[in-house]
Order: sequence, then structure tokens, then C-alpha cells
Amino acid sequence: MDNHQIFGIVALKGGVGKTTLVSNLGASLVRDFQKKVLLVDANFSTPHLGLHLGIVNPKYTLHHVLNDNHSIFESIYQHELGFHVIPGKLAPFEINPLILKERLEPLRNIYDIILIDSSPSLNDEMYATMAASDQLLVVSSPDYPTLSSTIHAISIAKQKDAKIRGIVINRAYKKRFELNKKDIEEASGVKILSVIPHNVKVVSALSRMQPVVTNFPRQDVSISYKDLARSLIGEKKKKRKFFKKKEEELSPDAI
Amino acid sequence: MNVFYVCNGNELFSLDDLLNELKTIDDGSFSQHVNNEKNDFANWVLYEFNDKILSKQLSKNLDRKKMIKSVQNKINKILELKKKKEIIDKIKGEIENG
Repeated sequence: MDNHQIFGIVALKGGVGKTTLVSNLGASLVRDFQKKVLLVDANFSTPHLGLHLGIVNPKYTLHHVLNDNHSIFESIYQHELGFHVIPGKLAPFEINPLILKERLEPLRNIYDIILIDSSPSLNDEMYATMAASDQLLVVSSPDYPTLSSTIHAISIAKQKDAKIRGIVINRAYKKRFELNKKDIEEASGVKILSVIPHNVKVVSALSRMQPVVTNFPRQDVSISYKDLARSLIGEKKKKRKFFKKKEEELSPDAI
Repeated sequence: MNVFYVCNGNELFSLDDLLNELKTIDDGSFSQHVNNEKNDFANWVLYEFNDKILSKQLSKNLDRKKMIKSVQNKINKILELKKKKEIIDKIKGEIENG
């Protein structure tokens, strides 16, 4: 992985799980891979990243940074799980979203990874994230309405010359009635990076304003987030030592 | 295209034809094509449609009702996939054309 990457997490549909993905990826990158991570809430209309992480009514936010030339460094909060967060302001607040890229640049070399939670609105709010990101992760779910939004989002990203890393399918029940990976890849023309399974533990963790990867690390959903985090930083999954040892015992040389 | 010539004079061109034939064929004609020594329908499905899974299902169960169910399920699945593709193509078309 190139150092100091900025990933924009986008979707043209609210409620698909962008913010959940950002909080869990961030937590996993720190916890499992010891990366220095910044999470940015660029969903200017409905900034909920703070609420996913227990940051309620922060004094300074990204909105202040993009409105009144407030220092970005004063809007960074250290989270107990080890990553940093720039939250958004819940109440309406006028901003210029298009200066997001310029405001984030000084932070690039400070963090290994910056994750930007974007707006689902097709306007300057989303364009701001696209412009500020090195690569995009497009969040989708395996149904027709979301597929339609996904194809649209990808089309917009390509028009803006934004680089798409891949699609993350969220809340998959892995049932026959869902669209499968092949359907979505063929329809969108973009590779699927990960399929995150539906798991009620995500909501349970959210009720405590925490990511599921730290609350329930052994659940399938947490393992999926960890695998996605691993792929973003270019690491390969290590083979389990038990099987390697067995192979050695069985080899003729070992007799 | 290899037509299946049923011993009762009927000709089968598709899985739909096979389904209809399985539902209506008399027991004697059925036994001529499906017995302990052979299963002409399973072979035709394998060589004509290259469908190993359906062919295996037809070979496994010599019971006519079960064969009907296997073919019906296959046809349903094909229709489902066709419908899915149509919907996705329409969605893509609408987005691309604005």
C-alpha cells in the first residue's frame, strides 16, 4: 500500500451503511493493524459519525473548518479506540464543501489512512468527498434499488475522474433472493472488495455507540471488516500455523 | 440442435417440451426411455443443454414426479435469471441514457 491514503466512502442512497463501515474500518485498522487513522464526517447534511462513536455535541467540527476558517487541528478528537475523528455538526450550518480537499491536505502525511464518510446527496457535498479522496469505496446492498444507486454513483465518480477501489456489499443475508456478486459486478463494471454479512450485533454495538469490531470481534461481520481493512492496506491473510505444522509432519522428510 | 424423438412420436426441442412430455407421457412410453438400464431424458439434457446438474438429478430419481419437479425447478430458475437480467439492463439503460 502507498502510505498516507485517503479513502472516500460513498453511496447515493442513505442507510446502506457508509457510516458503520467508516467507524468499523477505522477501529479495525487501529486495533488489528496498528495504523494511524483519521475518520472524517463529510456527510454535511446528516453527520452521524459522532453518534456512532460517542462524540455528542462536539465544540468544533468539520463544519466550523469549512465555514469560518477555523483550524482543522482544533476539530480533531482522539477516540478511546485509538483513532482520531473530525465530527460534523448536527444542527444546520452553512459551509463551503468544495474546500474540503484543501483543508484535509495538511493532515495527509500525519495519518496512514484517512477515511471520509460522505453525503448520499448528489450535489457539492458528495463531489467534495470525491475530489478529496485518492480512492473511493462504493457501499451497496444486494437489492435492485441500491444497485440502481450504485451504478449511478459509479457513473458520477467516473465523470469526475475519481478512482474507484471497489464496491463493498453491506448487510448481505446471503440468500437466494438477493442479487449475487456476479450480478452486481457485471452491472456496475466494478470489482466487489467485500461482502459484509447482516448481523444484529452491529445494531447492538451501535446502541452503545461503539463499532462492532471491538464489541464483538469474533462475529462474522467483524471478521469481514477486518479482512476488508487488511485488503485496503495491501496485506495478505496469513495461513494458520496448525495446517502448516501438519503438512510438515506428513511430509516424507519428516519421518 | 438435437431434437429428442419420443417413442410415442412426439418431438422435444426444449426443457419446456420435456416438462410437458413428462407430465403427459403414458407409463409404457416413459419406461422405454427411463428404466434401470438407461435414462434417455437425462442423457439428452446433458448433451443438448450441457446441464450436468439437472442431468444428474434426472438420473438419480427414476420416479416421474420427482423428474417433473427437477425440470420445473430448473425452468423456474432460468426464468428468474432472465427476469433479473432484464431488470438490471433496464436500470443500466435508464441511468446511462439520463
